Amino acid sequence: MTSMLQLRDLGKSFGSFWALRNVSIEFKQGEVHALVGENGAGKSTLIKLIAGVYQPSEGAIIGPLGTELKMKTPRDALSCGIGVVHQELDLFDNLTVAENIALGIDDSGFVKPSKDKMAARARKALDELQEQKILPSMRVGDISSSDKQLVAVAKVLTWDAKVIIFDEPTSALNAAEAARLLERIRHLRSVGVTVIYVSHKLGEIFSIADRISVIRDGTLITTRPVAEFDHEKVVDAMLGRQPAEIFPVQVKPRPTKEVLLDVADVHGRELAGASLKVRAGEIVALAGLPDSGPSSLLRHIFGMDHATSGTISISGRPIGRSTPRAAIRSGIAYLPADRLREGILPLMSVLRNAEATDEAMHASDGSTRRGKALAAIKRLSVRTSSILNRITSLSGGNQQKTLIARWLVMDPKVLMLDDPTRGVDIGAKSEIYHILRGIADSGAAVVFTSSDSLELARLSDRILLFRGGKIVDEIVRDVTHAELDRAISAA
Amino acid sequence: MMTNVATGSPAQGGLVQSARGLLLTREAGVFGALLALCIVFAIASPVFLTGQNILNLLRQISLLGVLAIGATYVLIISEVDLSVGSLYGFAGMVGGLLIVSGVPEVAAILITLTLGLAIGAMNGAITVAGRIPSFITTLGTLYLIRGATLVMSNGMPVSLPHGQGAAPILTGLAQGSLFGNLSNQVLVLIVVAVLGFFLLHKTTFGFHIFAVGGNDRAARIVGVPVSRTKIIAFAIAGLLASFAGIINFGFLENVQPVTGIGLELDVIAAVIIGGTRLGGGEGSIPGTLLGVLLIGVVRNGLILLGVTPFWQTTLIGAVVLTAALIGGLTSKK
Repeated sequence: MTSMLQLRDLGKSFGSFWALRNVSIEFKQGEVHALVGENGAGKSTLIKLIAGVYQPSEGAIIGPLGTELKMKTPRDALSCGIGVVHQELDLFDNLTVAENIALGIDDSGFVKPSKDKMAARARKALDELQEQKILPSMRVGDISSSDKQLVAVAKVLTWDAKVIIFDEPTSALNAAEAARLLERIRHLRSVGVTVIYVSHKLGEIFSIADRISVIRDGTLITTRPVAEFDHEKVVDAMLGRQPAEIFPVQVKPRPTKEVLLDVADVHGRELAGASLKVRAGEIVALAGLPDSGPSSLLRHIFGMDHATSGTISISGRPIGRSTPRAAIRSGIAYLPADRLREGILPLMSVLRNAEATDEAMHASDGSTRRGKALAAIKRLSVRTSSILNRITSLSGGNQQKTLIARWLVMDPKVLMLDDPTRGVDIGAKSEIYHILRGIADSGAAVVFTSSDSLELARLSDRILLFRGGKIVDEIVRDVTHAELDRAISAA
Repeated sequence: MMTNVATGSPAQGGLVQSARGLLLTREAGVFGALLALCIVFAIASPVFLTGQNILNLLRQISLLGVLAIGATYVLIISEVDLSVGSLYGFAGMVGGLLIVSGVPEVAAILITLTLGLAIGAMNGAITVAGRIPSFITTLGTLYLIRGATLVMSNGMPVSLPHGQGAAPILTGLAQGSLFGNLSNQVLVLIVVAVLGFFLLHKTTFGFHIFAVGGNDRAARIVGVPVSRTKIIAFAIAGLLASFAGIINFGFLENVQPVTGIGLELDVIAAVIIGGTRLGGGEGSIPGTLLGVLLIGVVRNGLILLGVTPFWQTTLIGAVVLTAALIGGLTSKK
């Protein structure tokens, strides 16, 4: 088979830090090539190099004709036949499907192409995908996220893309939508398109990939046909050590302890009757598709969204129509998923960040607060040359640890974390896991969501499975993350 | 995501409504409000619906309309231009000084318009290259241009010499009427609106304006010249502001160093009332014209009713807030 894209000793450094080094992979025509690795392993750096967002610090990307491709922008990459379908889609909600597809390729003249011409082009691309339901005249802001995925694919097809990179394409899709997308990807493969498929979901990868490349710590561990792998081998290669070394020992729930968090039949945005009880000392994972309720429930409990009906109680006391201040006062802590926008105070030091909530709540006097913050920063082993450095000078993992330290200062009864290890490297992840277990052991209730099913399965004492805004299943027995993936998609 | 009041929230994928369809419904809302106001004023004042009053009203809003069309481009790309009021006064002053000092009229007009275009482009270039919010850039140029106007006029007004037929083109454009009693200023607005409509809604450049306003990161990825598009949008606003300013000079035959102070706020108000989204990505020329007309009707109607001008300002404020609230409550995020 012909080589469509060849990476030769590719490397990318940021300052003295090599995010990726010595990576050589050949992508063949008409194959689905899966790229797997932990968060922070270097996958997204690799994708950005192939997509023209970054330029390599060393090595080269060779095209199908054996010549080196020098891509300075994503547009260059598109012109070389390399398209990316991003997790956060690069589409325009304010434009129609036809306009989204025409933009950039069908707009070189002074006068905009006519509606009919744009519609015809869009229709052709959608037909190539065997997609009939989406109409060129639809406004992209009004269509579902799975339809947006397909529009994004149609768009790169219009650019005559020979290599299409899918970056976590099914993370927001339910099982039926994901199956539909995988079907389209198989179709693309059958017409000779090379697909580079990046996903956390190993079940999906085994169902669609021809070969798998595993990346860890910025280097390529191995590239092999899918037949030479099984789930465990992939996980071992990704982690480089046994999960037991990364995750703290799981304990079974201790039902005699006090119920700290009691959610009864809560309805609200994305919620349709969610109920759960969490006891002191346990870690509970909320699993489900992104909009099925887990994250939303945390926001409701923390008073950022308001329930239309149902009650939320802390230690048996209902909290009513809440605000974050009231929630904090009743002993709730919440670590948001979007660290940059809702977590850190970017212009402030590590220390001030750790003190921020205590200070805002006037919880303790200045010297007590400082003492608590210093102790929390130490307990979380936040690595920084000085705690007076700006928090933005820290790595993602250390920023996240600082934010957890902020809540430790408050000594919460219920600690809620929304995808706490997103964008965090494996070392810091493992530290965070042990800290969360320690917090639970000291008598708090810990509730978290995650985009990583290994984490859901391994960190928690039990898993509550969401579907359509309510909890439909509870998993207490041991579960592999592959089984959990299937359960989430089926939910 | 935006939707209209009548249909409530759009079902995912179910609501098949093109961007244009949505805009039309928003424009329909503005049109409805305009109609209601007209009915009220028509009942309250016998003068309101007379031909002469309507022609007056149209003449009075023409220059605001020219400015607002430029501002529509800037607001759709999610930027703002606060300097157009200053530029309006500056252009009148530059044009006036040039003509009074004997520069041929055509040359004076061309120099003024070129300056306006260049200053607009400069607003855009500073915003883009300096990575400064345009609110700040144009706040700076608002003062710079006003200062320049004061310096070159030495704080004194400039007038056309009387009765010598000086500046026949400008006075003809501003004071004459080709068709009956319809002021040429209205024709100027119509021509600018038609060109502005074509450029925004029918050309690739206009397409890029909506793309940049909708998602400038994605626009860059598909190769839309984002910086250039932004700079041109500001240049259009500058050109139209200076054009309006010099016509104003032709109409009044004099210009004060303080002409146009605060005008930028009227302009932004008109565009917002006309349904352009402050967050960018949505807006239209017909909508802007309706917004301008609404402001004109409020002012005119209240004068006819003998209400003090202070109440005009109050009512316009209420209209802006209402329009913004309707926009805010009907958009999803």
